[in-house]
Amino acid sequence: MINPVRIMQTTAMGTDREHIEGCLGGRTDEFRPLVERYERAVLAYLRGRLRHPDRAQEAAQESFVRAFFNLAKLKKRDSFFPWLLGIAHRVAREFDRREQTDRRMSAEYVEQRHRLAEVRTRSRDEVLEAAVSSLPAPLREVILLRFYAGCSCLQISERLDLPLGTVTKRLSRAYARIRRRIEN
Amino acid sequence: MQGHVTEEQLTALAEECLADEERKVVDEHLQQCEWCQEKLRETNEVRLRLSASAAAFEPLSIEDGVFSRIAQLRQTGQRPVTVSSRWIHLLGQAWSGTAMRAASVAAAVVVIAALIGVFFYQPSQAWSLEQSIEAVQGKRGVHFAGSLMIEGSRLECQMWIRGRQGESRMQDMLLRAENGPTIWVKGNATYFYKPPEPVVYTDDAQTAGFTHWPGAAFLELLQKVARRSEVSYRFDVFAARRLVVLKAQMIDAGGPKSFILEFDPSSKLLVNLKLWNNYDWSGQPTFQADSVSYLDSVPDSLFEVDLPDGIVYRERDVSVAPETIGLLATPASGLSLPGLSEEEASRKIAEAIYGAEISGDLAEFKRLAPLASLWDDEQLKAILAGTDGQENVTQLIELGEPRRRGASPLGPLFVVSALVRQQDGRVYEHKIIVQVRRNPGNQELSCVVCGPYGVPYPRD
Repeated sequence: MINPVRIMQTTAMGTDREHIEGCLGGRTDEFRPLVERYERAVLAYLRGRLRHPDRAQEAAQESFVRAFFNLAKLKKRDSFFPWLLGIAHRVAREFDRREQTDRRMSAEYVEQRHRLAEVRTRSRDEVLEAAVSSLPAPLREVILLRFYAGCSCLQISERLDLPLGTVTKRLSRAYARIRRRIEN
Repeated sequence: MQGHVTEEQLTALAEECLADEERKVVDEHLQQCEWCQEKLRETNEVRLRLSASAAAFEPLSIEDGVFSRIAQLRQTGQRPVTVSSRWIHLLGQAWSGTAMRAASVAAAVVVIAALIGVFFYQPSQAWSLEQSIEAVQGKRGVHFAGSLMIEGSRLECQMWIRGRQGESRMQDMLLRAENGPTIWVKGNATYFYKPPEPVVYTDDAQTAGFTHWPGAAFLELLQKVARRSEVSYRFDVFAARRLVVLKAQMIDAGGPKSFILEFDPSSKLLVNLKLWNNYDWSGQPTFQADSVSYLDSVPDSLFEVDLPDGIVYRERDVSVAPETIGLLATPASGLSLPGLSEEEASRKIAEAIYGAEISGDLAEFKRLAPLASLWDDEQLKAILAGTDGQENVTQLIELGEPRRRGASPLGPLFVVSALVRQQDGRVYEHKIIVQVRRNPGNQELSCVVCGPYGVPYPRD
């Protein structure tokens, strides 16, 4: 479940705040650890949200680029991940809109719908990803950090600046919701 | 230990976050409680599944892509189209420290320039409504992205509309609201679907969407019939372009409307739209489109809605707004029809109200339909004449069988359909809602007309 190599890297790297301040000080490379730290979590979220790996990849890239150019606007520098997920959420919404318009205006629309219907015969993983993506933001954050960014509960509590009890409470609620969604 | 272990404790146990003492208590309880064992098993099942999914999730890294795009944007001096506006971003940076002081001055210059743009801008490219009509000639439909007021909440939505060939009226419509319903109009029917309820509610009339879609015919109508319209200009700081702003009021089959329509003076196309269901732009707009795209062709498939298996269709009850009950209950209003059945009475009042409209007897019309007394005679005439002044009913061709479709506190509600000929010579199907009332004392029957049900639908 937890990738020890990834955790060691995360721990060895500085805090989000340190990297953000480095970026704002003009050191672009300071953004690299933030991408490494959160790319899997953001991609997992976007894959569940957009249901298309290529579009998720593109949307994730766009989210990080927007985050980079807007870092100065992030007031609580310890809350980088929730802020980044918020950007990813809005990017996904824009992608959805654009895709819907393009698809509907295209002559291939009907054919695409058939393909989409086939894709919708989903694997278990896709059901799970969709369940994670549909969680309320506070629950989604802890699940993505726990499983896709490989953080322990303690690391999540540090990264989100939350008491440990709140983290386990949110995890508990998230598990219950995911279970219900899968069962349905 | 009293009772069961909480789900939070079970999660904390599974995550190895429990303090030793609490863990001991929970462990002891688990050994003797099958219910809690089952709960723990369920929790672990979800955790395992998440772990398996995460372990199998090995996407290509986006790191290189992110950094090459950052480098590219820096080189060209561009910025990504930001989620929030560039405007706010610019101001945010301007206040963020000494390094940005120069930028602050630059930002101030930009702000002042933009404001000057708003107040002193004269369009370099001439615009007239005729040019916009010309620009949308031949367009068959439109796509809106924006927001809509539904039951007191503003929901983000997308809407696709296909216009009726050569007419201003809407033919088909599909609206998808985020975290809200999907509503679509096909032919003379409207469908409402709001997951997770496995039911599609239907109206056998066009009860959602636009009476007129903003194609060429609508803009021509607007040019002819807008009660008041004024043109101004504004600079859209977000899109960095100048826009022509047209404010207009009109009355259509659905009652009074006010609009703000914004056109791009270079393409001449409508780019933003706000619509109020009142005459004076007051309150929140009922519908707001932040993006408008015209469509050259509109396939039927566009209006197909994917529905999960097991959906059932159910006719939606007709209702009347609670605040109108008082007016509908006025004893002096409507027709007293003792001895008739509810269906016969509904037909009778339908005949009477079309008779009043055809003869132009507005006082009788208001007596039969008391909500119409909210309008003065001029307004009521304008509503009956429709947007192009040609929608007055000149002949009642045929009345359909009244159908009971709901009830209000006053009694049953019937829908009566009618085939009518309008002043323009065309045949339309009209539907009206009739409120049947019973006198609480002698149970004598009377009825009033509540208003139209949907918009007129062409039948020729």
